[in-house]
Amino acid sequence: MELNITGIEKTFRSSGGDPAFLLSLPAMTFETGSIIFVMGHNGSGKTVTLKLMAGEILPSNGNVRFSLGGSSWKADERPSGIVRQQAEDSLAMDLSVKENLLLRGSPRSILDHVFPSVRLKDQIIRLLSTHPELLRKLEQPCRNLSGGQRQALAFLSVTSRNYPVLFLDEFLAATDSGTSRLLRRLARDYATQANACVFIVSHDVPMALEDADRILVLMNGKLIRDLGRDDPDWDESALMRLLMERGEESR
Amino acid sequence: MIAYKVLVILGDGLIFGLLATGVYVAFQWLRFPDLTPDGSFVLGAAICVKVASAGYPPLLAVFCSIAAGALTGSCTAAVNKLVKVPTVVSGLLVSSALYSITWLMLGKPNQFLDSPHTLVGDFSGVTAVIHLLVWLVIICAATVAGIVVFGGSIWGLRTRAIGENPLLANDLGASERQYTLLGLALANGFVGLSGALFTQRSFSADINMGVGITIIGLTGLILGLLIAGGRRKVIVIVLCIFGASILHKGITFLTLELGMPAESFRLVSAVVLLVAFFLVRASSVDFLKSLKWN
Repeated sequence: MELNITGIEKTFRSSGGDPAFLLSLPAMTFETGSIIFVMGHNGSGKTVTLKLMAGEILPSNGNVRFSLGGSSWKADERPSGIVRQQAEDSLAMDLSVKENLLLRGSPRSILDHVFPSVRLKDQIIRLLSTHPELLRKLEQPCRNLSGGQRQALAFLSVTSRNYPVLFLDEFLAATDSGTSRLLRRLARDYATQANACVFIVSHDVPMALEDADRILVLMNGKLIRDLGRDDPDWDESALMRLLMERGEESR
Repeated sequence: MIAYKVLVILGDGLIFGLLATGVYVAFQWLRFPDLTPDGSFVLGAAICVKVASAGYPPLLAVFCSIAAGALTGSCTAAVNKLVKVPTVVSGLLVSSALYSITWLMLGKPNQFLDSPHTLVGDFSGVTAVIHLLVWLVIICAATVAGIVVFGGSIWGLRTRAIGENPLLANDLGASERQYTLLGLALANGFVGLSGALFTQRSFSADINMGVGITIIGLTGLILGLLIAGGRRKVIVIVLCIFGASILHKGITFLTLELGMPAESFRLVSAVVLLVAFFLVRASSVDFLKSLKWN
């Protein structure tokens, strides 16, 4: 199946009211079950793109609209799966590990809503079966977790719901190599199992080349390259050159 | 005589424990420095006196006070979220309006409540205090059970999560506006209940009885969190808040017994709160750091 996204336009204005930054992206189509990396220099518009697609901010003109199979929806209409750079932004730090997972659980009956910690306990334990360290800290507040554990929990809690589109905004920035490897594998598994499009904002070129099915390169709010695995520029030096040249040009 | 005084302190502590629980929901769950209690406490008291004096059952009067308190909380949320008035100002604005509304409703600055129209009925003296205490224990136990169940439900978890991190509203497909409204309605419902129960003890409602009441609730909350230490379970915190409110009332009572003039009870509360803040800052678990109203 294919996921279609309408074109996106967003203007940020300076305090004087003049356009300070313009993001303008064309309509695009993505294969479901794929991982798409969004790359570019700092200030190129990667995170803004993700926030617009996740419906966290609204475009200046029209709507960001997705269509998949027979269904179509506006970005701000449905809850979106987004794991942010700071795990704290995707979690409630005062709540326990269990409570954070329950927040995104799937209650079906009124009893599930009233007593989720009893009724949805099995769901939580199943979800954490591959994360014994989080399972041990089930009742602890999230602020007691390490940076890597927080990011793992943020990822698990977001992906516990089957979103057709998942956004990961530099989500490996605070993780060690072991957690990073695990989360990358989980991202790939999620794309395959949920048949979802996973958009990852990252600066990590080797990781992008290893994990991505497609790489979008942004510069100053514009899409300048849309690379597939069969593209001649699909190698580390070419991509690095592309990003560095463009980064210097923008400065 | 001492037993009588202890019973009075316990009763007062429970009444103000309900108030502090309301402040806990607003300040801790929603991170909303809500000043509405200065108005919703008096409104709860005034409605209870009015309804009970009209001959309706005292319990119905208490429920009316809870509903009125919840309504005032909703008004504060609406002023903040719809008109975009800053949090502190919206609470101040609503409590200021409530001062006049309560006065207009009472038709005079204060109104007495005859003993037969209260929860204790025709009892008097120690018997009345014991009867009221039994009622208070039942009501507080029901309240604690209610808030613990709500706090652990999906709606309660969302209220707490979105209050702490508004970004989660979008992630969960929930409305921050709705959950702020729900939380403030709940918080001020507790305050209204506290105001209503206070009239069962003082046998009157006075339009000035709410001045600075938020500070008393806040004292109970800060002391309660201090007693709870690093524990964050809702049931533990709420029980600690009730314990702290009883302690607070005990300290106030003791200082008055030691010769402080009766007019200084708010001064005592202010000093207790100041000491509580100092202790929090000095302790290893500075929970105030994570609160936006800090």
